Amino acid sequence: MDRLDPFNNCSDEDLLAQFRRGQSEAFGALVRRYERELYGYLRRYLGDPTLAEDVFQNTFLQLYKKMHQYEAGRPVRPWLYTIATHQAIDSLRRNARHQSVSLDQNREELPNGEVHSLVDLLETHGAGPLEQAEGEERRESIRASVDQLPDLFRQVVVLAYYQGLKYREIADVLDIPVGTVKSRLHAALAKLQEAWNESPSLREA
Amino acid sequence: MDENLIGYLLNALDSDTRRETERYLQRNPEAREQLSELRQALEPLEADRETCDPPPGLWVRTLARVAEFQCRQLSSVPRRVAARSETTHRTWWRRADVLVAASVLLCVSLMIPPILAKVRYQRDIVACQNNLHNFYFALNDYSSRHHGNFPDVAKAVPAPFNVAGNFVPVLMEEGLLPGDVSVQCPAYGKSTHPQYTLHDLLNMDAEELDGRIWNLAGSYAYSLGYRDAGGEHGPRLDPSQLNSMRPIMADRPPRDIVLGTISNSPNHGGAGQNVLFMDGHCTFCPQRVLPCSAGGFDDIYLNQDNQVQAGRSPWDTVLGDSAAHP
Repeated sequence: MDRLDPFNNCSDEDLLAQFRRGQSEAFGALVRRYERELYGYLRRYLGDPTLAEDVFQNTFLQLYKKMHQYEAGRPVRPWLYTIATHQAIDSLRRNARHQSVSLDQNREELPNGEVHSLVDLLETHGAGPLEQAEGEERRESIRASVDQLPDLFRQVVVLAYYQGLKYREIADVLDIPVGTVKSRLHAALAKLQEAWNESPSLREA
Repeated sequence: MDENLIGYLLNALDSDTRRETERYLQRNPEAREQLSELRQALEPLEADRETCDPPPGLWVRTLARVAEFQCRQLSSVPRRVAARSETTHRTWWRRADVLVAASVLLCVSLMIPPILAKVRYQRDIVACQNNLHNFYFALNDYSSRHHGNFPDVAKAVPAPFNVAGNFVPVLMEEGLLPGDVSVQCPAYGKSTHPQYTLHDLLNMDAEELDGRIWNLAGSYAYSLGYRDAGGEHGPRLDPSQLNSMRPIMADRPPRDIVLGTISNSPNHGGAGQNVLFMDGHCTFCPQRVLPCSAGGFDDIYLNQDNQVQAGRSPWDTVLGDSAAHP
């Protein structure tokens, strides 16, 4: 279908401009263009595929509703991420899944009196042949450590590292100064290193 | 400057800051060492770089959701707000009770007809869908016999007989229509069996055709195909396309369609229309603007130029009534 897509060479901004001029396919092209990227972001941010799909759909519905607010030439990508992030936060609030726990919290005491942190507990989930399990276990541990970051830090890590947004774009998405983006990212990395140092398998790796 | 090093590694800096950071790194060996440490520090995140695939058809469902909103918005009519009656001081409770009881009875009696109407309405929609499925059996058989092509109303017969309604005589001619199929939507009129074969149609003169043209496809609409630089193309079952999003038949369009209104088919009281798709599924759509397989939305009764004519591309579906010309 891509070979037939007349919008391949259009920028996001061109697509929105064309849609506003009445070419409805341009909107569909934008949805398809961001299907993988934005769903991936929401899936990572929300940790739930059903919720991610719902928020993805809502994001484009909001984009459609706010189309009249779009100023020609304004970068679409950060705007889309802004809408998606707000929708994701609302969704988390509605689903009462919003958790702000640090790695030092929620320590659980085992029957033998030993105390494990959340990351350690997640690390014990590996099953199956050791070679196959190691990679998956490592991935889960990394994801768990990012998930356990406070939301303010987690947002910048996901947007900067996994989604590849520029500092300026992240600042626009989160409506904070660029300097704050930098300092949050710096602090997030420090926290992650601290968590990884506490985790035996990651420390060894 | 040190805070920019992470941004440098992640390619998150704007071009000016990036150049500035590069110059800083060139003249500062300690910064280069710090960069190397940061690179190592970020490395574990790479283990979780892989993103999940989106569920199949996510973009289609997203467009459907937007289309649903779009149509709800277009079809919503401001409702008059009922004036709130002023609270009156109750002086005689027996009289009030009688009034309440009478009101309840009145409400119940008023509720019964709408409930019955709703049941009848739902029944008609299902009956109409069953009827469209009967048409699909014939259309599918026809496409099997003709290399995937459905009846092409533009080419089946010469002008002035080249109307959308002639797909019924074409199917009749090949003996494909089941005996119980009706060209009238069960919600709109009495069951009427198709009357004319292609042979009958070609033996009519222009005046006779005018008089009977609405009887051809009755209260249904059929695809007018599309026209491009390569000429006219009839509807075709193409395995490489999303046939589940390509309509072939539907309840007929509203009569005032040329005025550019957005009203629905009159067959079901204007509440929507049954649409039969090329893969054989039939859905009642409360709006006539549907997501199309190329992305975006498509008015199933008008082409991209807002005309009742053949579409402008393979994705521009136009379902014309019995008398519509491609």
